[in-house]
Amino acid sequence: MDSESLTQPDVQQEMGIALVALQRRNKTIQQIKIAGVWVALVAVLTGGLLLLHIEPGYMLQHYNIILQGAWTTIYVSFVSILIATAIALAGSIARLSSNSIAQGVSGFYVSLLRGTPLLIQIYVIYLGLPQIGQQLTELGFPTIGRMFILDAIPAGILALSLNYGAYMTEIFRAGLQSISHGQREAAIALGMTPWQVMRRVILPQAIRIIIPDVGNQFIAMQKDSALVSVMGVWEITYLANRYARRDSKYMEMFLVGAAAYWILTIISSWLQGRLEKRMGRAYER
Amino acid sequence: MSADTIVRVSDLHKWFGMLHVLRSVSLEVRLREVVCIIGRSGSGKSTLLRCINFLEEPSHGMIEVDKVKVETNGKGISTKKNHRQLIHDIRLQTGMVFQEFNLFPHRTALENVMEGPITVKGMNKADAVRIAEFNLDRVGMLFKKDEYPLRLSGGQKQRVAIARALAMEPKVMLFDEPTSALDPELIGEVLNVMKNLAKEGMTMLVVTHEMGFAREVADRVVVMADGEIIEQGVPADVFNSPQDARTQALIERYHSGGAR
Amino acid sequence: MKKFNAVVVVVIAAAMSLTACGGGAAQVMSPTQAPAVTQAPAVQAPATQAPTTAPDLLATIQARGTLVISTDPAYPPQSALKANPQRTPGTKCAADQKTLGELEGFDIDVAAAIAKGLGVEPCFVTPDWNLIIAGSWAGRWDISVGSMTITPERAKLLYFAQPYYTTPAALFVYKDNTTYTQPSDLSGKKIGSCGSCTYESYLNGSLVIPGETINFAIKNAVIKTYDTDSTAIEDLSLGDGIRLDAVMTAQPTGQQAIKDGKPIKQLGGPLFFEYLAPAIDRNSLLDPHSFVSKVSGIIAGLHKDGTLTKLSMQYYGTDLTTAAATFDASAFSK
Repeated sequence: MDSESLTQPDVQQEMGIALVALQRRNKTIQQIKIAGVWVALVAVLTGGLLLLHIEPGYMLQHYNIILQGAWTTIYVSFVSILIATAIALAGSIARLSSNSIAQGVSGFYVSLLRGTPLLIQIYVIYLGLPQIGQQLTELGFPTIGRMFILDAIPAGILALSLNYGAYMTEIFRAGLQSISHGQREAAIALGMTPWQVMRRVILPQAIRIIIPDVGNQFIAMQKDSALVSVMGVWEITYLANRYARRDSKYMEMFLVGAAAYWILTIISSWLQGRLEKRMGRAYER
Repeated sequence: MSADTIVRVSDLHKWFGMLHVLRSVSLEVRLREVVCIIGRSGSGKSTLLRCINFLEEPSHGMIEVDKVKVETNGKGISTKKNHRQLIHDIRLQTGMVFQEFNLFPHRTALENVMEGPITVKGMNKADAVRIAEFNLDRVGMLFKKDEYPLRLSGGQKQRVAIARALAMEPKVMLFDEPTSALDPELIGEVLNVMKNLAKEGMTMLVVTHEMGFAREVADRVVVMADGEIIEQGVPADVFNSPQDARTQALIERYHSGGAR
Repeated sequence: MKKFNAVVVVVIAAAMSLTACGGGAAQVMSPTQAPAVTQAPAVQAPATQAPTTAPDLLATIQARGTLVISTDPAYPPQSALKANPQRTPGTKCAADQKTLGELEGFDIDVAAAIAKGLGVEPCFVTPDWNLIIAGSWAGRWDISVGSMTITPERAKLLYFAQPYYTTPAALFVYKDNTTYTQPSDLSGKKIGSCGSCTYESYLNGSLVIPGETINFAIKNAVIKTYDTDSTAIEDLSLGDGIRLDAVMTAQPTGQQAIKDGKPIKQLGGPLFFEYLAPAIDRNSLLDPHSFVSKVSGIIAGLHKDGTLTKLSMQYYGTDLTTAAATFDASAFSK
């Protein structure tokens, strides 16, 4: 027997291992280089900030106040993104349905809420709904009327949910449409009802496509949640602004606030990456 | 009409817009019969198959599967009010295998096969696993039961897809060009599975370009052209002495190796 | 299988949070709203009272034991956050309301004095200024003690009680500037002020203050409006004429900025006085009339016993209250 051919599989395996190791090493080097660029950029940014007239000591003393606001920011944006997701799910299914009422309502909703500024929506919900509630109370429905008087945080959550729900309806719609028709046919041929097709076949696949966009929306929302400060919610921007005025430390507090948002979004991006990886398991070769 | 007829299609018409793709097609399939439908692309053979389980809604005509009958009038609307339920009943009696496999990519091979029994039949998980493993074994795919479709070859995917359809224990299997999307070297494994099914006595309606398979396995060959059945009979007759000129052309191309 | 069940769970959880939040919203608001709308008539009004009469705001506040005051803690020394805010222990204020332990300033002290006069605890909410002057507060707060100037426009939406002090309006320019010696020198120049406020109205010549004759000294100013005066002062501090030639603001605000080291100086004396008073929603769910006159009475008392003068000296170093004591606010209370 030829000794060379006997050893050949081993040689092949060794070569394979060596190649994988090389790829891994190159990837690590690449990551170290990228990290180096980040460090350099942070250094440049810090240098630039030192040129501003700021008092770092003041920032160190007051960052914990901003942290109190961070909880409100996280709470408001997290609850809002959950509700917006539910709205977007319902809205996108309605957009794709053949029912004319569902199509009309969802289309109108998306058009109106995407077409008007979030800040105005917040004002209208906070100021306008109570006036409807008052009319209802005068008409003899005080219990229903009172439900229209939303406090600042519920009003902010409602506005953010409705606004982002409209954008996300379109994201979800594209996600649902991206699933091939064959998937739907295979499910129908098995005897599934339309709802089962959606729940068992279309949605689980679409969600994987939708998740990165939802993550982007969540990150954007964390910053847009600053708008609820107009209703006097003490979140990051509100506290940064009020302390800035109190002590005339504008740059200091704005920078602390900006850093707080940045850290929040870095954490969110990281979580988003982990979620994407988890959802993509079936798609790894 | 014989007593053991399981599928009956009568005066079936289908329009796609202005296109009249099925022109009064009538067909009967007996229990345990293997019927191959051949014909050139665009002859309407796939549409006929897809009308039987209502993936396409017939424009006019009657479909009956295992004594469940759905009639459609000229406007494309069923004449019976409970037609949704009837269509559902028909789908439960028919298993469908697609050209493009259409496995659920987010499910493993085993989960793909379990999906129907669990979701549609409401079966408990343990029973579904048992049925899924039995049917994967039937198509020789039990060894890949925990793989996701992306990691399977085309032939393996199609065998899992056949197992998925079999798991619903249908009375009739519908095959819509099951090997057309496969590389030539992978076709054999799928055809073997289908041959074994035929031996087991499964009623099969196969739309195919595989003339060899039709000749060897079919009890009857149905030839379609221009939305009509132009000829049918036992394979030997159709292949050796085709009557219609269009059938002759089709068979000639097969003999000269022009078409698979 | 598991992870896709997880997906379904997430979606369902999201859907449920929709309803859960609805319930939560109702709960959050109940501490403030519920007593205001339902309890008061049931508890306070005798059964014989005519059912058409709106429940009384003053009685509701006294029954609740808290006075809910709106203030924007963005304007030291009137209203600011405390350096180390601590929620008042044992407070009766609702969870989303702030307590005396978290805020400080002239307005805050006056608000606390009004609450004391009513025999209740002061609680604060901090909505945006636009939400306060828009009226229709829906019972979210009872009164605004926010150095609000009495104007005819605002009086359409709000009742004003007796003013508690006045604000002199003044002009500020860059400290090194020598070309401007009197207000009329600023005609045609870039002047910053708050938007939709009395200073902007003064600069564009439309200001009307009841009981005041106004001399519009500056003509054709290029008005740049700001969300808040302090941002305008920041812009002026960048240098003479870089973004602004002058800022029009409250004299105490400008003086405070000078104390904080901003490179600006006052140009001339006060241009006019504004009368600053507590405001109460005209479109109130409850009858506010007895409450308005009660607050006016309390402020008159604070003028008489020297409390306001003392607070003014403490926060501004000068007595800004005397003209306010004699102002006749009765036209704005009805």
